[in-house]
Amino acid sequence: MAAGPTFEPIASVTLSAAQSTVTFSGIPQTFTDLVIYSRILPTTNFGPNDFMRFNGDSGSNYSYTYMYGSGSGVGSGRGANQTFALIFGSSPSSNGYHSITHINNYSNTTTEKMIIAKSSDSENQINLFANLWRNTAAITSVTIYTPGDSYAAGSTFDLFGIAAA
Amino acid sequence: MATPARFLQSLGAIAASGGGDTSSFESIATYSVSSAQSSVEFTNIPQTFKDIQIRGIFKAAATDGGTPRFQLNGDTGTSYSYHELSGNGSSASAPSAGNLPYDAIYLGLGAQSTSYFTAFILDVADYATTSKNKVTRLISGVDKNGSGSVYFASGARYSTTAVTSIKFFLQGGANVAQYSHFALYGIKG
Repeated sequence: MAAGPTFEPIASVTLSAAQSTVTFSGIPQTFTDLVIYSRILPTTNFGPNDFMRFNGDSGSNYSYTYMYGSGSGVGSGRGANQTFALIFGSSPSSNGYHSITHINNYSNTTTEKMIIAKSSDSENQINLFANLWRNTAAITSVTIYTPGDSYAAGSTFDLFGIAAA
Repeated sequence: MATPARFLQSLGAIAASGGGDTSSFESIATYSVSSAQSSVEFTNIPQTFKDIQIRGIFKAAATDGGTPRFQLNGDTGTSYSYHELSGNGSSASAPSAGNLPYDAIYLGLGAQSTSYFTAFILDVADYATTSKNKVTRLISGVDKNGSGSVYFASGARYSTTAVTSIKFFLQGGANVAQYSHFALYGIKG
């Protein structure tokens, strides 16, 4: 049985001003899983989609499959050979949205990484994503970003580590 | 403790060893598959938590590995049912089934991929109660760079017996692949 806390906060960011990128770097390799909670407030002209990258990799090493419910219907889609993982896939309402991203077994160096993200905007859409990062490297940094726009001040990003026995 | 064909973790020994973890989310046991094996099972689950959660990555060791399943307490009777909401990259669907000898994880579409691990989080709420049938909740997904699927699923086992073991296996009979990883956690109430 693991000694000490099992679900442990690693880092937290609350934006004091709008910015388009948040990076958690130097992630300890002492946990089994990572969990990232994001509570996003959009800027006025916030465009669709919220992306994630690992270890600064901007190559076409990502892909995703997702499903969504919009209040008027459900659907599914995917993207192959992408330069990002997808954690929210719609233009958010003014109240923003939140997402929870699970990275199981992030520190192993033998498997490509599968990332599960669920996100929701109560006025807009809910999503579930499976993202593949085709790299066996341990994840040491996570970048959350929105292309061409910014997260508003007050947006929060929390990184947790889950230890195992 | 371990047998050639399957892994059995004596969790009673772990529970008896103390620990000192005072958090509400507590690691009970972890297993990493070092070589392909037919199943992974957590046994003698301590009855001292409110809920349990199993997190991990999972794939089959063979191309046509069949569909991932799980059973509680070694129950192979037609005691299970499920409902799911799933997306395959083209459309969403919501199938269900009942009177099954296993609960459905559906960690992948049909034959489990041998190249890509499915990530999953499985919750069993109120697992130790002896007055309610057991319900489970799953989120999982696998992407294969051009194919893949995501799942929300709810399962039930129609038995009020407390959950003392959970076994993961592949319905088609393939082995669980090397590097698959399962971690069991207890959530205190």
